[in-house]
Amino acid sequence: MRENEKLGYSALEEEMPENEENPFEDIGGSEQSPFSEDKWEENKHPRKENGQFGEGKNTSNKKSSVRQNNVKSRERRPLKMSDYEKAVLRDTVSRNQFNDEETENGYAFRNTSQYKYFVKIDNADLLSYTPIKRWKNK
Amino acid sequence: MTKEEHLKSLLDDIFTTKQTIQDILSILDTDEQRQILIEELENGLQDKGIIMLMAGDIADGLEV
Repeated sequence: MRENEKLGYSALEEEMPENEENPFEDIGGSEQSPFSEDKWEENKHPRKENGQFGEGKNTSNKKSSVRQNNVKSRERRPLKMSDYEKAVLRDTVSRNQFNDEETENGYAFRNTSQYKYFVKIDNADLLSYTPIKRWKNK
Repeated sequence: MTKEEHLKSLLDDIFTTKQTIQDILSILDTDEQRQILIEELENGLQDKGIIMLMAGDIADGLEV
C-alpha cells in the first residue's frame, strides 16, 4: 500500500472481471450501447449554429429572453411629480386620450411642453394611468 | 441604412401607430442604444408593452 501511494496509482487489478450483463441496461440500452455508431439519428440531436450540441438556437436568444424577463420583473415605481406637473399631464392625457393600440399595449407616451412621459395605462376608459418615466423634451 | 432607419423599419412591422414609433425613436439618443433594441427585435421580441418598457430602460441607461 505504501508503495502504491508513492507511485501514485491505486491498487486496482489490472484486468477487470468481464461483466456479462449489459452495463447500460438501466438507462434503456438493452440492445445497443449509447456509444454505438450504428443508429445515429442527427435529427434527434439538435445542434447550435456553431455545431455544438444544444437546443439548436444561438446563445443570443437566451440572453435576449433573460433581458426581457429582467425588464418584465423590474419594479416600476411611479414618478414623483408636483401637483402642477400632475395637472399638466392630466390635461394633456384628457385632450389626447389613449387609443386602441395604446390600450392594448398597456403603455403610452405623452408629450407636454416640458417633458415626454411614459405612462402605464391602468384603465383607459377612466383615463387612469401611472407615470413611469419622463425625459426632457429635446 | 442608419441605425435609426433600421430600427424604424423593424418597429413599423410591429406598431401601427406612427406616433408610438416616433416616441420610441426619440427617446433613444445613441446608435448603441438603438442597436440594443434592434438586437431584441431581430431576436423575435414582439410584445409591444415590453418593447416600450425596454426602450424606456435603455434610454435611461439601465442594463436590460
